[in-house]
Amino acid sequence: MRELPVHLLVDSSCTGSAESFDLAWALANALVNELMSDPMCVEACHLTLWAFGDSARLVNRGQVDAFQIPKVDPGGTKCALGHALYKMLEIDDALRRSSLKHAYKSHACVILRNAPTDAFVPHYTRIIARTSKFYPPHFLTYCDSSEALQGISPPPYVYPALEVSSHFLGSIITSPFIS
Amino acid sequence: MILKVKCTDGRTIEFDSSKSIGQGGEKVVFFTKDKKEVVCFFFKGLQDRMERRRRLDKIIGYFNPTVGPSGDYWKEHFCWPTHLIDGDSTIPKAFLAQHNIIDPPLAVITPAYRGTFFFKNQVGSVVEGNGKWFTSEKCRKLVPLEYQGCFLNYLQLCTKMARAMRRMHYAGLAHSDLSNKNVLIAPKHGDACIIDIDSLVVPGIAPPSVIGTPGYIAPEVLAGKILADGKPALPCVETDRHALAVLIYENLLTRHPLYGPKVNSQVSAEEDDRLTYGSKALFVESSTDKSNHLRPAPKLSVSILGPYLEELFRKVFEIGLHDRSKRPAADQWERALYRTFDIIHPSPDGKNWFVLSPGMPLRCPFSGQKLNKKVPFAQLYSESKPGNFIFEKHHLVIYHNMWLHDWHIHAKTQPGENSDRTTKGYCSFYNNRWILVNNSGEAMQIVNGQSVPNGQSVEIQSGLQLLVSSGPKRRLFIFDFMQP
Repeated sequence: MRELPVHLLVDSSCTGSAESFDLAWALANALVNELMSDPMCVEACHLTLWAFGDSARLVNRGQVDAFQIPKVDPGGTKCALGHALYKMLEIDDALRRSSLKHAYKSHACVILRNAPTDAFVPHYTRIIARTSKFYPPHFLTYCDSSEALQGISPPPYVYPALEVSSHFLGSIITSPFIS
Repeated sequence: MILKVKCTDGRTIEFDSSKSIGQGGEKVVFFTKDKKEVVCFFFKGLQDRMERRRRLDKIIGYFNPTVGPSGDYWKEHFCWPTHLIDGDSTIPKAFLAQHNIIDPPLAVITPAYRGTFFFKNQVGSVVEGNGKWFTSEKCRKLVPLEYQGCFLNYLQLCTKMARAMRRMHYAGLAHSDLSNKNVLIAPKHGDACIIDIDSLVVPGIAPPSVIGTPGYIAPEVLAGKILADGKPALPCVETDRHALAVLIYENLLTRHPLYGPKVNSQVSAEEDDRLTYGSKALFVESSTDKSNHLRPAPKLSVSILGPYLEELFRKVFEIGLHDRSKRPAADQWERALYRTFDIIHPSPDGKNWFVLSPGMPLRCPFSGQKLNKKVPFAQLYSESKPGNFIFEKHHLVIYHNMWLHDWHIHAKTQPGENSDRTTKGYCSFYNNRWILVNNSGEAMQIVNGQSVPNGQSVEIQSGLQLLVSSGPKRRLFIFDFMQP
């Protein structure tokens, strides 16, 4: 089956509470489990998992059926969302080039605990401009990190991380199969 | 909180309103108090309420196979709606608002899925036996081994699917959204059940309300083809036939019959899909056009399914792919599957089954192991006029402890939902000899030889001619052996 790239970016900086760090990774785990419980995602999803602080680091990538989330420690004092989006786009392009058949439009889900400290808007705009390759990213925000996303055009999908269920996110990602 | 609701037929149903057990594009679902049924409320925004009501009335009443002859059998293989709620004003408005349910409420009640159709996944969670888990190699590997089933089980569940669709189509109904998400399967038990019945296309009452699920939508529907009558192609019995063939192919070979390496559009994945499954659809095992052949070639080609199924797959995906009138009907699939059951043989490793017919290699395609002993088989003949037997172009492949049933010993008899399933005999490898034991209740007759009374056996030898039944549907077996 055609590939469906899914990028999961987790704000793992040292700033912000330890509680929100644990919650962010618990949500990431729950989302991966949700994808594993949907056979269409098992069949199609290619997952890349990023942790970002001062910069973005690829934690793992691969098919959902064998996907493992290693233990990630908090790192960095910044929240380099822009760098994470930039690296994600690089990987996404490479993934698309590696396959003879077009991949489905990519999904990106960002779990944000702090206000971004770098210029992320240009990268966000690049994603939005690639309408044939990307769905608009979903942001799950803790505390007041969502304030930094206000005023961006077009506005991203923003959900309070403590209120959103992984099931809901899973259903968003499976949308190419049910539309 | 338990709520009481009144159905249109006067029945009162109690359901647990505190927690929905799921929702789809059109409905939100709750268990009844005893959890034997579910109540599915339509969401707000339903455009065609009156039409839906008429459709559901017909589905629950006139067209309902679960209340007619063999009703108990069909109850097992259709999740058929049983009751309707329309406009019950006692349902609290707050409940309707909370779940975005249409007001006045409209709901359909269906049986809960049987326990057979759930399995425990690798992390111990109970998962619905949605067909999607079993129609790809990658997903099937995630299902615990005990639930995966073997090739025989997949033949069994495909037969149940084909049989159910034959019943539905005989009534003139079309499912309109037949797909791996709308068929529950339980390979472990060789069982299948068609769900999402409430969107059926009912002749003269209800046009299709959906076009189907990607991958199962017939090419002419996806391509928006205008038919000879000037109307656009929409889901109907013929499009169900395409979806049924895709499902059977996927279940038996764990891949999609049209998804190959051919790129039909460079614009986007969605456009490529639209063409790949629509106007440019091409069978991945086409015998005339290799441009969509899988590379490397799959280990299991369609030919391992034997002559009957291969013929139908070529018919549906080569001739009938863009000509809906040429697609095999559900009963043809049913017949081909019955015939394939007659030519299956246990694998040498004892873990699986495979199709073996004269002319096919004596090797299990799943394990790669060869059979190293000769395999007996019978050529089947039926009587066209008294004393004149014609070859039915069909064989019965014999294995140790194989049971014989009514449909084996009588011509023009099929193992359908009403068949006599008592055993009429068996074949066995006993004391280094192959024997057939007659338990049919009447004598079998060796041509130009002795009779084989009920309870007695006869040695199977090459050239043995045995009349295994009497009467107008009597059948003649002529035995031979396949050599390793």
